[in-house]
Amino acid sequence: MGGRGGGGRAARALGPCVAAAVGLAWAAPALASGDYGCAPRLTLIHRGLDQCNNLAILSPGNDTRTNLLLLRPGRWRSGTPGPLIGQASMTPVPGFSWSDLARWTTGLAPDIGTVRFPAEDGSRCRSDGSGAAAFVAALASDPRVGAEDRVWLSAARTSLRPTCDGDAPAAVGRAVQGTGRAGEFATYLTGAAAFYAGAFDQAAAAFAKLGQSANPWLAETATYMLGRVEVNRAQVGLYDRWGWRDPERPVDRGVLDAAEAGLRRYLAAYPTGRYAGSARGLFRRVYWLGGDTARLSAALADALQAAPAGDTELLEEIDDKLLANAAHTAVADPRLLAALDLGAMRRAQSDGSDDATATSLSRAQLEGQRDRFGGDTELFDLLRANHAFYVGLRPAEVLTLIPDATRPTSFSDRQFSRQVLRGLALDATDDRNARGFWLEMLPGAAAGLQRLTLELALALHEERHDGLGRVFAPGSPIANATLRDTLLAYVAGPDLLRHEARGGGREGRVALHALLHKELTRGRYAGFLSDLALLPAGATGADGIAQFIGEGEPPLDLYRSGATAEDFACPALTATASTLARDPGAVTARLCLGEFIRLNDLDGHLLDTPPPADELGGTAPRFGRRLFSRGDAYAAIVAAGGASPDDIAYALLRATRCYAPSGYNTCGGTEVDKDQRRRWFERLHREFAGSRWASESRYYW
Amino acid sequence: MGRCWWTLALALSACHSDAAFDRATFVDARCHDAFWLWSGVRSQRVLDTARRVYVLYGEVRSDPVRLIARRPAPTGPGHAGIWLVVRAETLDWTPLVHGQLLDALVRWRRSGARVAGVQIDFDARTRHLDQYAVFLTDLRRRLPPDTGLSVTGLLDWSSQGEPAALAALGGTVDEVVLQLYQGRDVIPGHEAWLARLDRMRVPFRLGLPQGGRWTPPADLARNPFYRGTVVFLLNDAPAAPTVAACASE
Repeated sequence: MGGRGGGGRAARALGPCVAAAVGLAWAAPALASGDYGCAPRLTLIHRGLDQCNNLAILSPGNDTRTNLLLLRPGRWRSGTPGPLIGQASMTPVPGFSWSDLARWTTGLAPDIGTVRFPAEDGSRCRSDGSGAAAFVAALASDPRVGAEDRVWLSAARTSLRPTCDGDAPAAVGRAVQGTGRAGEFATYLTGAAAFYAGAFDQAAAAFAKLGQSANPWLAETATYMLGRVEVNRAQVGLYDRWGWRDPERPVDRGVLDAAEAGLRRYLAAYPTGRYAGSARGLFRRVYWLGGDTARLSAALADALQAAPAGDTELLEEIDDKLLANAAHTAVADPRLLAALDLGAMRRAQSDGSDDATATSLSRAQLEGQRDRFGGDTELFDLLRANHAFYVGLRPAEVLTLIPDATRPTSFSDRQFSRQVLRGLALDATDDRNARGFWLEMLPGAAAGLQRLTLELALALHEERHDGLGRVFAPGSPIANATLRDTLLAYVAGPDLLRHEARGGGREGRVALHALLHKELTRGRYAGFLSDLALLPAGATGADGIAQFIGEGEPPLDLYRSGATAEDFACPALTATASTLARDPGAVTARLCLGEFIRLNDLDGHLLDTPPPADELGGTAPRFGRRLFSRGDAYAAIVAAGGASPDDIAYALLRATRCYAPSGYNTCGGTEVDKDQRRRWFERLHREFAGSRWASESRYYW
Repeated sequence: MGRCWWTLALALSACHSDAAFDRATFVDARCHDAFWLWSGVRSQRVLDTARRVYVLYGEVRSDPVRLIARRPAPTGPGHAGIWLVVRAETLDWTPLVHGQLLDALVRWRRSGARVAGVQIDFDARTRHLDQYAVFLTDLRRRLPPDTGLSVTGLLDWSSQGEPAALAALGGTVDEVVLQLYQGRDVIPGHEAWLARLDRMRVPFRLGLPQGGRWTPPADLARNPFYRGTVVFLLNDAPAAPTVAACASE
């Protein structure tokens, strides 16, 4: 993702064997290092969690935080522009990661922190900066504090700079005493220093003296701090060396109750006070520390209702602190419950494990939740339909649960989710109205992710219903370059590719590259030679690794100026192709084709490693013919005999080198065991001892 | 005669499947001594006897560019060498971000942890390795002298990286840890990637997911740049056998 502005994700062309990206799982909320190697999976059906390919519809495959965002109140109104609906060209594919979404979401400007305290650093000392500023401001506005006292008190407070690194408490300065109002500020200062140093008894004692102060800032802040002190006290000793909450250590209920009482006292006295939001957050921490899921769930539901649209931190808190471990019975709020349910519908991952959210949800359990959704049958039926589709594998049931409503002028997230699921069910049941259904949705889809989702749905349908021609016809609604390039690269046959190549433009060049590569490597030599004429005059190269699915230029100059020979003498590529066109069994020419492939790193090429069958581009290619494999060619040449000694010797050398240096075959074709490689090696040195190739062969692998 | 053939065929097929199974090695954390400890991952006993622990400190995100803290400093002394890991979405670091990293390095060392260095986890596409090298050279200059610099790497690098770009990294970083996994699964077909490790001219380690299965290349130990494995700890890794059966290599 680095290097691309605007947050778009390049469709990353991974190399051999990695193109078939596995479904990802992660232990909530850990994000495994390496997940930035996200490859788009061009499918709308994710039965398991797919971190890299969240969709703009509610789905079990989405990150829970994405689902929470789609479930937010306020996103249900049609036409409400929101983070997802508003994205016009932010992304080239309909799938995205939670990181992407969090970045796109507008609203609150994310905190960038300070040198000592980066964003989301949870240290208690984090509030020192703003606390000091507020203290100084309160001093300045209190006429009962003399100038001299104001100066030393301000200086003492701002110089505290606690680090919470286990250092000794900072000295407060001159003896903290004084009379009157200045004395009260001095007492507060003692409390703050003690709080940051972790001396909670001392801190509480100081703040307790100030609840009745005539200075409103002192009174309110001290009242709040009494609660905050107890919350911090409750966490002492709970974390191990690595910062993990040690499950062996039970939390002190007495301290938790005191914390709750303190926070409650504050909110009772100051229901809309300056620390009210913070106090509510601290309540949630108390519930979490005490394992009180029911009250935590209710508090988070309230917060979700009130929070602004861009508050992704709250969604992170809900996912991390509640949904990661909650039982369904403990969550009453319909939106939180829906997110939890969707997570529970995920299929377990291939290694048998599953992320913590997925307590498998039976149909009966889901049906039993009806009351908790109240009158919101739209949401409840959407969940039932998701369950039928993803868990029950009964797509027909989706059609009875979700009636057709494809023609609004715009879709809310909920409506879009419902209709897309219905469309997927139509395709899954081979309904002959599926194509028309997708087409009808298009006018109402918002530009960006909704549009892309529908284009992918239609492209998947056309690929599987003999509709490639329609995809590339003029006026085709499928405009997205990644989708079109994928079909050209993996499934289009020679006629379609040639037609597209003649159309020119970047897409024409992609088509030409696919055409020439496949003709050359699948035995269509005559076609290759004649289609070379389609190469544009200033044939473009690629800058390093060729990635051209969706964007970028295919390496067409490969066919004009790609390397054809190293030590083994080979003519130009056209000569080799001409020979093979006349005589596909010609030995030297086959070796030279192998050289071209080897020298230009075409083994296991992108174009020869199609996506899985259920993704776009995963159906059988319309090209036919077997892929030329160097490995098989060398073995065949060696076994057949009848070729020139130089050719056989070279074939023996290359055959053994296929397995260098680690014993894995990099030449494609049938894998051959080590004994056979040894025999090749021995034969090279026995029968062709004087040859150049024997002298270059020191090892076999 | 028929029965002989049948038995032989059965024996051969059993042989074949056993051989394939044995080649795949289960990643048992107890058989390794270097680990990644990521956000949200609970502590495991292997950490107490680890030689190296790469702890995710934070992430550098963009829009706006900022460092987001993920774990506090490990506290107290321990014998493991700690590497402070920063996962970067962008290389456009502001002075504040650099300042935050350096401040964290100081604080982590002050908390008693033996911090050996900093690791950057960034998805550098192979064709942008030269830009990455520029960033790393600059970062190296900013780090205190007794601080190592490590980077995570993608399998791409060993097979397709421009030799010059990979060599440029070699002058700047102390090691590359190649990740053989995506999410929590070992990348299928990783063997083909590992076949090209001879192109690596930088000290490297191989990163594996806890509980995964991989096929170590036959002559890995002979590669002069190979430094060992790093296991990514997971909360719900597949259970290891009761008694650790660590291979000799």
